[in-house]
This record gives sequence, structure tokens and C-alpha cells, in this order.
Amino acid sequence: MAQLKQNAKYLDPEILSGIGSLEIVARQVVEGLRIGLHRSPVRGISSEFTAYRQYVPGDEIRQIDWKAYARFNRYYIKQFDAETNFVANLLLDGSESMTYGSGKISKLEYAKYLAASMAYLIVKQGDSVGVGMFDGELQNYIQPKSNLSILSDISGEMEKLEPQPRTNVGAVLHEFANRMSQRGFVMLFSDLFDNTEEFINGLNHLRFGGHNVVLFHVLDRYEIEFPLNGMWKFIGLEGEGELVTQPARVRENYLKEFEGFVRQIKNACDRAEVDYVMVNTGDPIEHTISNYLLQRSALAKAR
Amino acid sequence: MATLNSITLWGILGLIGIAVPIIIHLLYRKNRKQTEWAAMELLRKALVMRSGQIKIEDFLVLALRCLAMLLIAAALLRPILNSGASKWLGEKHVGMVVAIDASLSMGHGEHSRFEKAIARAKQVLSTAREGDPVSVVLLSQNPEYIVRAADYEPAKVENLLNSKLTRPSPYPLALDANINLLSELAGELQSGTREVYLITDAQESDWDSLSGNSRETLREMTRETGFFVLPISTDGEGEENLSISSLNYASGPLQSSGVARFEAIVKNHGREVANGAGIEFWLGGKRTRKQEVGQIKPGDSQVIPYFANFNEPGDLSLEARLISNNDDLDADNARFAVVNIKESVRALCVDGSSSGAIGRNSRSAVYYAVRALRLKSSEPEAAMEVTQVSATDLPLERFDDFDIIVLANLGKPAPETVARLHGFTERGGGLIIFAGENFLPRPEENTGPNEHFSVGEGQEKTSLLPAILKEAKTAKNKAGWSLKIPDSDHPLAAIVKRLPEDIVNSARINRIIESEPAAESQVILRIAENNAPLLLARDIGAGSVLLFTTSADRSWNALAVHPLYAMLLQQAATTISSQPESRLTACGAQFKHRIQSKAKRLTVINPDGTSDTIRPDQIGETLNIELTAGVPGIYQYNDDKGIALTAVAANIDASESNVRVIASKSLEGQVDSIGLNVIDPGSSAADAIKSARRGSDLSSLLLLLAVLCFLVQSVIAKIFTKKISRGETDVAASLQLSQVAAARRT
Repeated sequence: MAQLKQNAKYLDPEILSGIGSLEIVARQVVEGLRIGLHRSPVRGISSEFTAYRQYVPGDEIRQIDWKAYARFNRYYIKQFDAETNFVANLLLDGSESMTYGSGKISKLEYAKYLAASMAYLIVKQGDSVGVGMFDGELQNYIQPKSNLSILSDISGEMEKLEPQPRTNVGAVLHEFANRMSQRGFVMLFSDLFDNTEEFINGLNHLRFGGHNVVLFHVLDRYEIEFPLNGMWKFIGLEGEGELVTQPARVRENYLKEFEGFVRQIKNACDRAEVDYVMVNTGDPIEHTISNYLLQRSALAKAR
Repeated sequence: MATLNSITLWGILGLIGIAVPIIIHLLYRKNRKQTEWAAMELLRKALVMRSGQIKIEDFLVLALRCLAMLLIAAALLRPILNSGASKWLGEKHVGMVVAIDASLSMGHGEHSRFEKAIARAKQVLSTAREGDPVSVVLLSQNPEYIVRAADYEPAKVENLLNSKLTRPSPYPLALDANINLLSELAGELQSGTREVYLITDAQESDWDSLSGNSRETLREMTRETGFFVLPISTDGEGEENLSISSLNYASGPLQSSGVARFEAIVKNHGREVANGAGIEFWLGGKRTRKQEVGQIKPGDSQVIPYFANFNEPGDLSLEARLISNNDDLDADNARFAVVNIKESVRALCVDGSSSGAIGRNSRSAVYYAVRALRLKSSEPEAAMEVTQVSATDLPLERFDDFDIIVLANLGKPAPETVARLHGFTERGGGLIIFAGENFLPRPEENTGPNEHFSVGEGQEKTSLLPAILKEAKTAKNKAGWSLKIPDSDHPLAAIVKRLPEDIVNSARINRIIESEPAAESQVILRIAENNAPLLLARDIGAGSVLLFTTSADRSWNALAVHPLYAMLLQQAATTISSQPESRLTACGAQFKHRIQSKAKRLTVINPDGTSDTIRPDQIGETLNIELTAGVPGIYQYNDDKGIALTAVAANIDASESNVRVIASKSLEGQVDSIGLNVIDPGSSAADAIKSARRGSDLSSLLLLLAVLCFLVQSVIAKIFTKKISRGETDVAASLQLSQVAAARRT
């Protein structure tokens, strides 16, 4: 364990100790591969009884509980829950726009820490994690593993990541949806400063594939609040050119635009039943994770 | 539009001022910070929405800043708008004090200076608006108010200015005293802007003698108040003026059947030699003499003697009237006097010498005094009744039976006697005291004549003597000392002045008692060699005391046998018994006089023929008469039965006869340092005032606009930039908190 922590640069012990014994509970039951904590919608293959229901034509004859028939003189079918295994894919946006950071840490750095922390948690509870990194297209993909060795792989791949201009999140999501044969968890870490329509299409594609998607919308504090005063020259990180202005004078309009942008993404997420998490790189990472897990836990209990 | 300041200098400074905000704007744009930015699309959209607006806002702020600098530069130019343009700007309420010089000299000229001053005042008042607080005052020793701190009503003020009662006074201007009044009047006006206008003939005599205090007061006043002097034009009226500057009793007995000498002094105040003027003397209302004045050079005076014969006792009026063709100021061409003529003068001579009257050398101390007073005793009309008594008999005499009492060598009178003598002089009696051996301190006594002639106790102790006597001093030279030619105007000094010098020198004095003049006393004669006082005078109540510091007889001097001795004593008897100055006053001055009468009401016949009834204060058998003469002339006082009791002569201040004025330019130079503005008589007063007023008004208006521009631009700039203060935004935290809260609610 000590060796693992040494190799895995992004696994900050302080961050992980902050999370503590919180459990990841999936919002939606995924077809289970692993018998464990996650319930499966596929009934009949496990031995855990859940309920009786009256027989209807078309049900398999072998599922009829004859003992119940003997007692009630009616056909009942006995239902069982199957325990499933959990496969999570973490998709990290490595485009140039993610390199922006108003403080000591850029959005990309922050996203890396966040993704690594999530991977550790998932693996720690016995589930599998795969990691994909993309800019214009999916660059590196590590196949899901359920042992902690994957953390070293992820850490190594993350270090190799070189930010590239022009993100195309929509295309990446399409590609990933096509590649994934097994339904599972997809966690996307991106600032989404891209074609929003394309992104929404890609998101829907993933959802249609039956994936449970969580969007970590990673944004810098300055991008959220735009608190700059004085005269500033802004240089686009992805070749958008330059702009000179007094931020204070356009702040109101910027925040309006920003709000519209976030609302559009959030609405799309709501429609596709995707968890939307806004991540402010000004906040401590453990807070971000804790808040997300609390949110998830609350939703699971509600169901 | 015109400007009061240099347009080149302030124009350049203004352009520099305008360039400043533009340079700052450009520097600000250049001095920008730089950052990489991810959300360029959002920023670009925000900019597209705002860029047009920002350009307009920037332009507006820059324009306001430039305008503010432009307005400051324009204000420094002190622009003046013409009347047409200034109407729409509006005008402030201005409080005005219009002071019109109504002194005597303003009556000078065919179209008098006063008429010109009134016309000038109307011009000044034409700049006032109805309702403005205004004071209009006729300035002289006794100021008269036409209106005081009242809302301006043009018609009413015009009527008052045109009134016949608005005329020059017989008083001097009294500029020093009136400057404080002007300051007070300006302070009374309820207005933000105050202006004082002094319309005057600017007499040399007023402005050349302006005191330091008055200058300081003016300087102080001009810090908050605009002060304008408007000298009136005296062009063409000439400055020729002859005046009778005085009419005084000179010498001779003021007794019925006596002949007294009066002197009228005619002065030429003009710039040319005066020729052909005549003078008339009127005695008791009848013209008794007329004569030519003769030639008088500019600035010179001529003494015209007049010998008046008196037939009846009582107060007699005397008038000298000047007849001149080349004289535009009539008010100073007449001079008045009133003298009290006595039936006879009763004198009590007291011999204070202890030695008996034995032999030629043992004549009493008053021997020569009695002889001197009785000079005319041989004449049938003898008017001096002299009674001689010894010191021991003095307490037995009724003092009020005498007009004068002569005390010779009476060094130690009884305290009761001193008290009676004090009362005698207070009631109008005359006391002549001669020193002598008895005035020398005796070894066995600690007290001297200073104590012996004192009345009262403690702080109320007063001495009858006009001097504090010290030790006796004897001339080292046997020939003794001579008299100094006096410079006093006292009638007794005038006698010495009129005598030839060798005659005066022949009157020798061997011994005197050194003395120091007491308060309120006057030294009339002095010793030439050591300047020691020889004859001193002092008024006590209605009477007077004369003190000779030498003896009445020959023991200490040769004066007693000198002709001057008799002349001095005769004149002294007349002067202190009749008191020829006691019935003279100046116009505007408060005058008090005491007469013997029991009448409860008096009728005053004024110089213009009108009469008033007064009820004077009565003290015992005397009446206190108070008078403040409004016009020059004789004021006759009669009792309720019409019997003439007394008369008072009122004259104008002779200094006002100098009608010479200061040229406008000289006046400007003289008062410029004080901060006064002089408006030239040739220019329109209304235009000059409007220019001065509007020039400053527009400057302040422009400065106000500049400040407004600065304020507006700073407010607008603040609104436009919307700078973020700490803690104003925490969007991310609020978003996350709202998400958690929403999840929990679900």
C-alpha cells in the first residue's frame, strides 16, 4: 500500500482520508456482473428472494412456485434479485482550455486529482475502473480493472498527458458509446468549452447505451465569478485570438452568458438523467467529492 | 462676451488641462494586464453585447472630464456676458448699501455736487432688483437713512431721493466714524452677496487724513463685501471757495457801553487769488459794518477785525457774512457768534498778605491788581466794580455778589472758604489766583497750597488749582526772566501775541513757583528761559480758574507795573466772567449750557425762523440747555413770557470749506491697496457694476459646473465599471450549496 501511494502521484492521502468510509452507491441499478453491494434488475439468476407475483401468460413455466400453487390454488411466480459488479469509466478532458488556472492549480490538474481520487474509491470497494483521456479524440484508454494496480497505470497515463487544442467532447462520447459493450458508469471530467449541441448528442448516445453518466463540470473560480478589475488582455487558449476589455464593464453580461451556458448543459443532463456536478477549482477536492457522494447517497435513499 | 484675464495664458493652460484626461485615458489603456483565458466564447458574446455601449460610456466619461477642465479654464478667464446673454442665466440677490456723501462740501457748485451724487445713486440703484435688500444713507457726521435694510422698492426710493428734504447737511463727512457704520449696514443685509457704494466728492481733507484703523476696517470689510467708491465729477465747477473760517472775540470788555474787538478770518480755499470779496458784520440782527476783504492768495487767510459797541447787557448775536462772486459754496460764507454782555463786572480782590499796609513798599498784595482792574474808574460809564478785602474778611463776603474773585498771596485759605470758592466757580464764577510768599511751604507744616486748595475727601478730592505747585524758583540773573511768545489761541495769549516783542520782553519775572499742569488744564503763558508755566487755566463747572505762578505785586516780578499786567487782568476779568466761547457750538455736535432762570418752559427760535418749545432740566436756579444744531445760525432761547434768556451760535465745521477733491486716478491709487474699487465719474456706474458683478458670477457658475461635471463623471464611471469588492460574489459556493440542498429536499 505504501509502495502504491509512492507511485501514484495523484492519490493524495489527505484527500482520501477526508472522504473516509463513504460508499459509492449507484444511482441506477446496472446489470450486475459482480455479486456484492449493487442490486441488479435482472431477476431469477440469484438466490435472493424479493417478491411473489401472479403468473401471466408468457412467463416461463419453470418459474412457477408449485408450493404456492398447492397452498393457494393459483399460479405465482417467485422473483429474485441478482447482485451485480460495477464498472466505471473515467473520461478526462485533456484539451488546452483545461490548462487555465487562476490560482496555483489548473483545471486539468484539479480534474486529474479528482479522477484519481474517484478511481481509488471505486477500486477500494471492489469495483472496476477504466480511464480514458481525450482532447480532439480519445487518446489513451486503460481497460477496467478491479485491483489497485490500475491506480499506478492511471497515474502513469495521466502524467504522460499533453494538453492539445480543440476539444470535441461530443465526438469522444459517441466513440466511447460505440466502443463500450457492457453498460456501466461513465464519469466525464471537462470544462465543456466546446460545441454544446454535439456534447448533448454524445451524452444522449451514452445514455441510450444504458450507461450511468456523471458529469463533473470543471471550472475555474474566475470563470464562474469573473472578478477581474482594470484593463485586461485575454488570450484564447485554443486559438480564439485576443480580446482587450475592462472585465468589470462586461461582467454582468459575461455572467449572464455563463449562466445560460451552464443552464443549457444542466437541462440536457436532467433530460438524459445524467448527474451534473459543477466543480469549482477554488474549492478543496475532498469537499467536491464529499458533496457529490452526499448528493448521490441522498438520491439513492430516496429511491 | 469679454474676459477679464489673459485669454492667451489661461487658454493654453485650459488646453493642457483638457489634454490631461485624454493622456490618462490612453495611458490606462496601454497599462493593461494580460491573461490566458479558456471561456473566450462566453467573453466574446458578452463583449459583442456591450462593446457599443462601452464605447459610448467611455466617450461620455472622457467628454465630461474634458468639459470639466474646459470649464475651469473658462472660469479662470473670468468671462463677462453681455446683458442680453446674462438674462437667461439669472442673477443673484445682491444686498446694496448706497452711501451718499451729504457733507457740507456737497453743496458746492452751481449744479451742486449733491445733485450729481443723487443722479449717481440712481444709476447704482438701477442695478438692484425689486426685493433686493437695500440701505440708502445720507452720510455725514449725523447720518440720515432714506431706507435701511429694506426690500428695494424702486418707486419709493426714487421719490425719497427726489424729496426736498434730501439735501446736504451742514456737517462734515466724518469719514473715519462712518466707515464703521458702513460695515454695520453691510452686515445687516440678508444676502449672500453684499456691496457698498460710497458716492462722494472725495475731498482731500477726508481721504488724506483717513486713519490707519479705518483703512484696516475697510480692508477687513472688502474680504466679504464689494466696496465701490464713486467720486462724482467736479469738472467745470471750479474749486474756488472763500469761507469765513472763524469769528471770535479777541479783546476788550464785554460790558454794556464797552467796545470789544472781534476777528473774522477769511480763508481762500481755491487755487486762484481771491479779489473783490466783501464782508458784512451784523450785530443783534442789524448790519453795522461792511468792508472789502482785499486780496487773498490761494491757501492764505486774512484777519478782518471788527469793533463792536455794546449798549445793552444780555446775550448778543454777531454775524459775519461774506459777499463773493467767485464762490460756489454758500454754506461757509456766514459765521455766527453770541457773547454775553454784562452791565458791569464785579470783582472781589482778596489780600492774602500777612504784612500790614505800611509805607510805599508795604502796599497790599492786591494793590496793583485793583489798580489794573479799575483803569476806567474815572470814566462815568465805569463798568468794573472792584471790592478789596483782607484774607480775614473773605469768609464774610457773599461770593455770588461778584463775577470774579482775585486771590493774591492767599496760601492757606480755610477749608470752608475753599469749598465756597469751588461752588462759586462751578456756578459760573471766575477765580484768579496769584502765588506769593504764603504759597511757600512752612517748616512746621507738612501741607502746602495743593492740599489747602483741595475740596472733598479720598478719591473725590479735587483741587481748585490748575497746576500742581512745587518749589519756588528765583532767576539767577537780576534782570529776571522774560515771557515766551505763546502759541495758544486763548484770548489772554492772543494779547501777548499782538504786542510788539520788545514790549513783551520788558515784562520781567524774578521768581515763580514751579508747577506741573494738572489734568484738563491749559498753559497760557510760559517763561521764555526755562519754559516753566506762568499762567494756567482750568474750567470747573461753568466757571474758570486762572493761576499766576508769580505774585500779584512787585515782590516777585516787574510785571505788576508793566502795561501788559493791566491788559492781562482786564482781559482775564472779561474772559472768565463773560466766557465768550461758552455760547458757541458746531453743527451736529452736542452742546450743553447752563443759564440762571426759573422758567419751566423755553421757546427756541431756530435760525430758519421756526420755533420749538422745550422743557429743560432745572437744577436749583439754573437750567440745563441741550442743543444739537441742525443748521448754522443763532438759536434764541426765550422764557414763557417771551423774554430773551440766552442765545447759542452754531457754525459749520470749517474743514468742510476745503472743497478741493482728489482726482479719480489718484484716489484709485490711494485706495487700491485697501481693496476698494473706484468707478470713474466719466463711466456709467450701472455698466461698471454689472460688469464687475457678472464677471464674477459667471466665473463661479463655471466653477460650479466644472465641479458638477467631475461629480457626474465619477458617479457614471463608478456605475459603468461596477468594480467588485471583496466578498461580493461566491457563485461557486452558492451553486454547490444549492445543489446539496436540492438533493436533500428530494
